[in-house]
Amino acid sequence: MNSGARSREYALGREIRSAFFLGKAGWTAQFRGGHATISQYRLYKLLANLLWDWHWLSKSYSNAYDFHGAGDLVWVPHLFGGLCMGQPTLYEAGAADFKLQDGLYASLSQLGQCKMYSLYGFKTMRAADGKFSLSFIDPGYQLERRARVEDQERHYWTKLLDVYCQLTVDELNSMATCRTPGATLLSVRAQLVRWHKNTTKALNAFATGRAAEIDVGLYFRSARECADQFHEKLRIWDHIGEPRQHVADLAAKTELAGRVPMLLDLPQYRFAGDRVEALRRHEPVIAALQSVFSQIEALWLKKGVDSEALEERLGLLSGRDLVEKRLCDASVWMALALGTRTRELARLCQDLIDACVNAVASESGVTIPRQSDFYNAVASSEYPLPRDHFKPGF
Amino acid sequence: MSTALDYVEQDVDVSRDIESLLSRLPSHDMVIGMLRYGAHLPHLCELALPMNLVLSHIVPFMNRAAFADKKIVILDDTIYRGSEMQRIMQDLTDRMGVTLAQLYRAVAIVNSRSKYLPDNDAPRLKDADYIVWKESLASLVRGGLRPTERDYPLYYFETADLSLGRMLSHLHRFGALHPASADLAGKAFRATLTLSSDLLGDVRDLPGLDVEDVCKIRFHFYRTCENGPLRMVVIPMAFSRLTIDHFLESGSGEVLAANLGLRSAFYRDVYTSDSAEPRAFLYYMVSRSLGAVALNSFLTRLSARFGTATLVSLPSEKIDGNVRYVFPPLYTEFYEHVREALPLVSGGEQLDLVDSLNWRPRDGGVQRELKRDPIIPESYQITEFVCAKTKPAKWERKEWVPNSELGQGVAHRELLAYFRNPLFVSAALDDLIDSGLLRAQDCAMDAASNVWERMLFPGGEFKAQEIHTVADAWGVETGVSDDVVREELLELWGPF
Repeated sequence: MNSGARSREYALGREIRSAFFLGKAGWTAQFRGGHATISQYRLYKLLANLLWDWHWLSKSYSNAYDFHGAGDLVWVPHLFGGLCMGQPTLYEAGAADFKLQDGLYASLSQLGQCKMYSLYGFKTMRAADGKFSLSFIDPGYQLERRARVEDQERHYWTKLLDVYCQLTVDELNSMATCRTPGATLLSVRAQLVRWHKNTTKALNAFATGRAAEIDVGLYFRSARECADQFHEKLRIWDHIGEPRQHVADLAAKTELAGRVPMLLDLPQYRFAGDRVEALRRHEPVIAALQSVFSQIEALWLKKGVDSEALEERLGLLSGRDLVEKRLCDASVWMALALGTRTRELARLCQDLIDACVNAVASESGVTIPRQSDFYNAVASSEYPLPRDHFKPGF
Repeated sequence: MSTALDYVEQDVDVSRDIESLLSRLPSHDMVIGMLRYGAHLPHLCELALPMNLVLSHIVPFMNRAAFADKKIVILDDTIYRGSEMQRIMQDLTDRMGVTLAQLYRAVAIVNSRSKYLPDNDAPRLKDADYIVWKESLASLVRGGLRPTERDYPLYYFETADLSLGRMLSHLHRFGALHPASADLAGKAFRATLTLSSDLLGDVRDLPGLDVEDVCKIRFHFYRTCENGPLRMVVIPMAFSRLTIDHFLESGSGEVLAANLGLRSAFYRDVYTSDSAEPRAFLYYMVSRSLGAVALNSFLTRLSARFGTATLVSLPSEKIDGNVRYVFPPLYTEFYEHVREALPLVSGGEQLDLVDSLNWRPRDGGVQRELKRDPIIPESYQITEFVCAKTKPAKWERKEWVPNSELGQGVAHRELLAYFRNPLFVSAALDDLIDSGLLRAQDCAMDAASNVWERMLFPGGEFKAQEIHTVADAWGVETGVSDDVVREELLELWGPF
């Protein structure tokens, strides 16, 4: 590969370009919304949708949409569905407390601390009552002209904004997360990956006697959320037709008519739909595992185990024939729980979860790796959007 | 692991374009290689075509006879708007007596918006493709043996006895060592040793010379083959302001010449030579002579540490292959004399010298606190200072264009005075000059061209827009607090 791709000035150009894309989207959405701010969630979703169409329009209609890439902005399957994050190529650990997640991704707030993004309009981000609001200003035409973005790119990025700014937050989420089988598969897998990580962290803390030293409550809550989101993504996929149609109707009034939303997947995701359905068949397994896992939380919170629910879930898992019977032996579980033998219970629960996850993965034809491995793969070989067609540079 | 970067630049083949350019040049007696990148093109071409190469900065130091009746190719990598090509054409025709018929302008590519065209049939690229091509070339150049800026003499050495690691451990003892480029690709490992100008000894205080506190020696290490001897390209640099009249009248020229073993009248001969710009020539020779003094002094001390290892000076012809560089006779006299007089390090010599000398540069007082940004490298902060003095780009009707009226630029001493951190400035300048965001050139500081100094300017072409943007970014206050970042990261990714 030409070493120019990795040079500092190439990375600087991408940085400037990315700052423009993000600033333009933030300002436009904020302005169209008629408020002084825009919600963080909305912006994440908006950008995720723009990225999808940006990549596929230029791949499918290269004569009409002759784009360079999207700079450092990438689509990421996340707990909260498809999001747009930054993968800064100019990053050099300049600030000690600036850590890329899994060594890959910068969040919107992190990008907001970077001067280039501030220059292109990202001004503030505030948190209140658990909600984040962002404020952008219009960078202005002269600054935009220095952004290494061609006129036609500026034009089409704005056109895409015109369409997607009109969607509700739920519609944006649906389209960002599950617009295609490939996106859905990655989104669903992301929940399982994160759920597995959170359960492992919590159970490991109990198994090693360190539960008092760390905030295991956070892992319990995160795992619960991941399990909920796993089910939620499947629900979104079931009803994706409506938001797809709404986007198409909005785009029909623009020059993107008949093209947006782009609903293509890369060839490696041609069986994604089948795999999503395979995972769906194991939805009860995940629900049962989460319920079993939550009994550990109940023990930790000194609320006592719900024996009936535990027995029922273990019975369901046993009936699936996914794992060894001994892992689902309710009497063993009860004995450990009643004897508050938390360490052993945690180890048993870990074994059960690991075995079930492996079995689900094997039967579904998907992998559920460690979180860092998952995101490394998503950032590289499993990235769902085409990139090899873009014009060189940036 | 492939990344988002791996898809780019599939269709850019700079090497092929350079080969195509050079293989189609008409017959010529001389090629003028334009700084910065035009001068590198002959070395980037695998065809290894023979040519007589004059670096463009040397042209004003030559006399008319050097160009009389010669067929001359002016070689550059690109034409952006044509200002550099027009400038050299004017210099050659107005001051060197060259006729247009003698000249042939050849470039690899032309920006599609340029109204100025070369004589060869170069492809025209639109802005975005032009930038990509240019950046690919810049990266190729940075991966080569020679520094991007070609207006310093290069000294070549070779050792069969020392490994790179061993050599670096020797260098570490003398000053502050840092990598010279952020680019890790390339044939050569590049490092810069930043030193106190105490290294120059008495020469530092010569009348007419205002030598800065800091000097540097840049090293490019490479091997011609696996397990082959270690070669070094060494570029010594000392920064100074020269007041010509005072320098000559006070006899400083004779003292400097004596220090280097040159004829006592050497610098006076430079000044009175029939070159087109004798004052510029004199500043060039004096400032590069200071570098030679630094190198001499450094090698003398370095040799004391080498034990039985041998460091041999190589003639430039051994490195340049079929490219024969053409210089004015006085420059050649200087270079050959200095090179042959360099203290060769050979086994067994134990010089009676204090080897505990540490020439780390002194800080200039309390260092200015550097601004921080998570992504933009710290070194780019210098752009804010430079652009405050000289706007790199201006808005013209509907677009930004490089500002041709850049004024005086920024002196190295001004950066030292502002940041008070010589190591930071040294490393940052290496980075910024290599990346093209800044460029350096010798400049007359007064109307009479009596005072000369090396000045820094923002990069030209599309770099003007970039450095302008980077400089503007440094001045921006961001409005996202660390608390918000922590809270959002916790929400997004959980505890980590």
